[in-house]
Amino acid sequence: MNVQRFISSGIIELYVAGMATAEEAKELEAAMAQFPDLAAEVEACRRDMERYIRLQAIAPPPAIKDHLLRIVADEATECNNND
Amino acid sequence: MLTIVGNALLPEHQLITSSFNVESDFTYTEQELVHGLKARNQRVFSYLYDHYSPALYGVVLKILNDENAAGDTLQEVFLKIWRNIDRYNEEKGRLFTWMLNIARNTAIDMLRSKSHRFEQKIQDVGDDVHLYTGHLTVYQSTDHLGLSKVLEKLNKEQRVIIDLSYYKGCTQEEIAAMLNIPLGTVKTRTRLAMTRLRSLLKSL
Repeated sequence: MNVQRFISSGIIELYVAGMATAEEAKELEAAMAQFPDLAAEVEACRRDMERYIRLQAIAPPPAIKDHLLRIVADEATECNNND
Repeated sequence: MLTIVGNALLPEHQLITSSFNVESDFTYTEQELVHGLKARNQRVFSYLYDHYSPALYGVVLKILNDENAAGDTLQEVFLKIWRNIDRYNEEKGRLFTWMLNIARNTAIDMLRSKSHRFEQKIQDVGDDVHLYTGHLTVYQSTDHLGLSKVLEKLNKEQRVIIDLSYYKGCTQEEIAAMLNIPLGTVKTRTRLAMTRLRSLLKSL
């Protein structure tokens, strides 16, 4: 499959969204390694996807961050104590 | 009970505590973030959370449609990011993409573990645009107006396909069975829906 056919097939969008089959992903990744234009097109699609996801951003409840940072800090303390 | 805190650790911990919910006036590039996370820098983790949690929470909440489950899942997602950062390979894609995949997969696993609720969600799918933006209007971000515009331009068929495949993690075979349409049609519709979504995003 040439670069243009990949681009018009819709496989790039599926791949970036994590919806391509393992076989499709393998085929696309092999082609990306060979054709820089195709790799650039995949990268452009990732940025579009990122924009789509960011359009739906919602602030999470504030308590989650507090809790997470405590877990992470406690893990670091444990590691240091074990040293 | 924690009685002894290592000397080296105390200033770091205080810094983190005092920076809760404070918007940082500096920025990190993705590369600097990855470097900082790999070095186990908790301030970088805090920054990462501030800048990426709304986007990831939006996805997780959209998948689970339940604020408690979404909160638990978001926490699990960030712990996975923190603990597995060494597995992230910059050559295979952006940090955001990697984190998004973790968020989506973790939320879909959670959704599927509650199979009775999963059935219920399928019935709600695709009825109107408001289902997709219902949560969002509460927060009144102008960005969400852009999203509504995008979704209004997809037809119902395309919205259903994106919802089932992206947000519910259904395989194409499952979708074919659910909608009672041939597998080939599912494949074609999915590709069309995703390319249409992307062209709409480009026009925003």
